[in-house]
Amino acid sequence: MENFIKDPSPQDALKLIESLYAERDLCLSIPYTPDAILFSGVIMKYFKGDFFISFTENCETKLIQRGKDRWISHRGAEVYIGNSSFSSTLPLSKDDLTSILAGVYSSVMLERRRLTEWELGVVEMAKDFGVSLEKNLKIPSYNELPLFLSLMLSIDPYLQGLTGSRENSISLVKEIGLDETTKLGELDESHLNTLLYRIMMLVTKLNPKATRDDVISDKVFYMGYDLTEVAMAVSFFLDNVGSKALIQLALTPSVLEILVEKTRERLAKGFTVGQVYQKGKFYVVETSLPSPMLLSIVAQQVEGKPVKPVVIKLGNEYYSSKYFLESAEEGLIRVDIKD
Amino acid sequence: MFKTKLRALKRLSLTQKQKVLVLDDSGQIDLGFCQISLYKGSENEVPLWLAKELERLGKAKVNRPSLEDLGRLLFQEKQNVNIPASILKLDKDFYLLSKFLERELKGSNSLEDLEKLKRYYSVMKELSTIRLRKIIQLALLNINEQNLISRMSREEYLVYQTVSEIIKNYYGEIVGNSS
Amino acid sequence: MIDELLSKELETDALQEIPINSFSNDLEVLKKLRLRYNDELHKREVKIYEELAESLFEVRLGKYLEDGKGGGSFDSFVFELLEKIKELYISLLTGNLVSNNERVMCKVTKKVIVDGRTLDKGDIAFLPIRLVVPLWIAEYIIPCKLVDN
Repeated sequence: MENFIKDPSPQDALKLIESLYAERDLCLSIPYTPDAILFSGVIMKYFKGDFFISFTENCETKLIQRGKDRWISHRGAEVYIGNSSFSSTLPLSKDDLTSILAGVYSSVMLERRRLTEWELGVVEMAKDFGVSLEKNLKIPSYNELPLFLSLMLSIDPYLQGLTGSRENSISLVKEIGLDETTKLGELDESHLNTLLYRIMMLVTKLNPKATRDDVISDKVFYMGYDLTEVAMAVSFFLDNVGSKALIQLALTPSVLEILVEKTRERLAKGFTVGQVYQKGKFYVVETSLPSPMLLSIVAQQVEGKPVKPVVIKLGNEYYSSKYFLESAEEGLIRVDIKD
Repeated sequence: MFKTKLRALKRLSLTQKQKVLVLDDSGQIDLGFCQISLYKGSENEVPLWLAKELERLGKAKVNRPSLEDLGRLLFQEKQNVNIPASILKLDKDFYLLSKFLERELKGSNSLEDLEKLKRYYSVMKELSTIRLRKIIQLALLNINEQNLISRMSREEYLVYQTVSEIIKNYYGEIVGNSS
Repeated sequence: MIDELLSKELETDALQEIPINSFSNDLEVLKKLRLRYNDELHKREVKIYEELAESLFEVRLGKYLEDGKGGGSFDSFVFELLEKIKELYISLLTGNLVSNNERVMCKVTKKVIVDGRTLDKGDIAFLPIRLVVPLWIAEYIIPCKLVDN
């Protein structure tokens, strides 16, 4: 059904989505990803009838994801949307922009990709609602946070030694000749170059082929939020609380403030990232941060390729996420790995 | 809960057996739990709900207090209006049974019975009011002697219980100890 | 006999224990009355017992409301149902449900067919609130609490 390499046509998804609202009740089969769950939440928000989300293939309406390719299908009609996120096909509205952008960006972040042409188009349109786009360092929330904290929270690029370490991030910042309160925007050209140089040193240690393009990208901001941090918060909450947090976000977008705040709080406390290695079919990341999805981004950079499934080792125990494993349960899932 | 319990009491009363004078042959009635034979002139005990039906159909007459009985009761009850422990003993179903008299007087066309009906209402009102006051006093004073309680009708006992409970809970909340 | 049960229930403050076999003899008599007779008199008789049963229900329910305690008797299912309804009611009023004003988010706990569709354990159902309690009691779903206790 889906293996014809057609040209992606996400613009056709809108008609399909509109036809969903004509149904008396609706069942959506989706992959367990923040993007798909947020998409479902936005649909559900306006749907007047019984609504179901299935993580198995039971329903007649499907969000299909194979690798980085995506399709939306309903009653036999199928739209191939290419690598664009599901959320990017939703009709833009002020009320749902937060959820849509969160969905788009969580896909971008977890898959370590750039915004597709279509998604860039969506961001362009969203500028009317106050969204802004700029090319800058991939570190999160540099507009709001002091530089050291931004570096500390940087999952992508993973800055070995700095990510998760308050001490080391402050050290680096001071070494460059700045202080704890300096923000990225306050740096002059010379300091910026030094910073970039230090960042590239860390990044090329993991990936000798890395260039500046790997640490600089399109940064999207909305209502003061850096979408990178939003994507991190959404993933962290999916790992720890489950889909209900994301559905609630879709229903009441003002909840985003709390999701970002709590995630930032946890990450800013500091966390360790240890060894990354393969054990059987699992990729293990030793860490003190309880988020397999966030650590999978680190693992991808360490291994130099997409890796699945990812398991984190917290203390002596292994945990993963429904994002990686088939499971009826949500939240952190205990995994038994024989040593 | 008072209304609920009162309704429950009323329903319970309907299953209690009461004395009836059979006015007409009705033969055997199978009630599942028991069999009732009704032959003219006999005195039987039948469940109150059945007694009501039979009286309505003119086939039996339920034993009930007469107007004179009521007058006498009122006179005695009035003797010690302010002494709660002086409350007279009444049948548990006294008020329910008295209603049969009311029904009989209401159903009649005679002027004499109309007068009697007026008297019935006035006596019942006074009697029930005096008794109610005594019962509430007993509850307020936390007197719960079995011998006094057994003198109350079903409904009166419910009032007594309810008032006692209210007081107990009230002191429990306010003072912390039941008085 | 049910009248004895009601009588006792009215005498005590606490819910009395009523094992299910304590009225099974009565049941047989009543079944036969229902099947055998169709006249007004016997219909009235059956109604009397139905009303006694109704009063027993009401009085026991009243005690539950006063004291918040159910019991292990033949009617424990009533109190279990009420507990769940109460829990849902409280969650609804205090922002602990995930819902869009029409439907409440629930987790499927047992494979079930709803509206002709098969849902597996772990799937999500958004249902009108009046369906949540019965499906919850039947252990097919559990309403999602925004924050678990």
